[in-house]
Amino acid sequence: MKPKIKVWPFQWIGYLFLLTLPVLSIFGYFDENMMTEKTESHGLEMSINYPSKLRYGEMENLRIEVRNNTKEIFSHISISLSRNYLENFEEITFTPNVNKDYLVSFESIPKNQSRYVDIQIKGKKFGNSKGQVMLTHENRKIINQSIKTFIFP
Amino acid sequence: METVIRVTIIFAFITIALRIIGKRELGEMSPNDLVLLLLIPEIVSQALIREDFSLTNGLIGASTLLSLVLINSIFSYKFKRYNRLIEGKPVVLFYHGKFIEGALDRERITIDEILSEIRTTGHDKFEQMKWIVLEPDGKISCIPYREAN
Repeated sequence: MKPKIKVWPFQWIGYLFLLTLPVLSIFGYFDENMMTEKTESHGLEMSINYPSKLRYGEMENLRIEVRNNTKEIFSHISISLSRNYLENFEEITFTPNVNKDYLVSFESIPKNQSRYVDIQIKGKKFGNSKGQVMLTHENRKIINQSIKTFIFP
Repeated sequence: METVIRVTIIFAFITIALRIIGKRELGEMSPNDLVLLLLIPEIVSQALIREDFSLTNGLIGASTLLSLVLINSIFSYKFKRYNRLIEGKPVVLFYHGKFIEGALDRERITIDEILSEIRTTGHDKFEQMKWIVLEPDGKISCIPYREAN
């Protein structure tokens, strides 16, 4: 007698469900994912490298780079990150230091030079975290870029 | 992705390791075996989950392990060779009044252990047995003459 694999119909559903998680994981669905958003305005280029997917308790780095592509010096540049984006994270550290409104200021950015803001974040609450990174020059909003991170439970 | 690979490696390693140490260790638990089985999860747990304590990682790990067990059981049922490789074959320890010494040595089974198993069947002498077989799950089957016939 040749052995044949036979299962109850409901078992197929269970098997498929059971296999879904490892298969999706093999294809990297649950892996941490980094994204880069670039925006340019008035000769200032802002590049944000941030995690689009993160797991609970995982640490990641969010980097904002502001580059002056013009031939003149830009002064009084500030970068801010919206509070609602950071609400789902913990152990947040900014480099350079930040004030209570999550605002980092640079006195000036010489031509063809960049300034960086590094933010370390740790996933706390699962779900989508949406927010904006704003670049202002002399209190004038130049760039407003949306970012979104999904935190797996 | 990494969790699936880690669980698969650990699963394969433990399956092969348990297969190598022999059937005896699976059938009965000596204090030594108990320590072994208690320590294995302690040692491998860090390697499995790393520092990722997320629910997602736990679910991926558990479903990978369950999927491997399921695939393993399907393969074992469908392919005889695979089943022999994973589960092993029954080993004859005693046949028609003679001990197979090589088999006893390889499986590290003493005459006293076999005598103890014979007593559980309600007999007390080797001579009453036609077959004594070590099963793939580590249990010893004692088949007396009348039953064998």
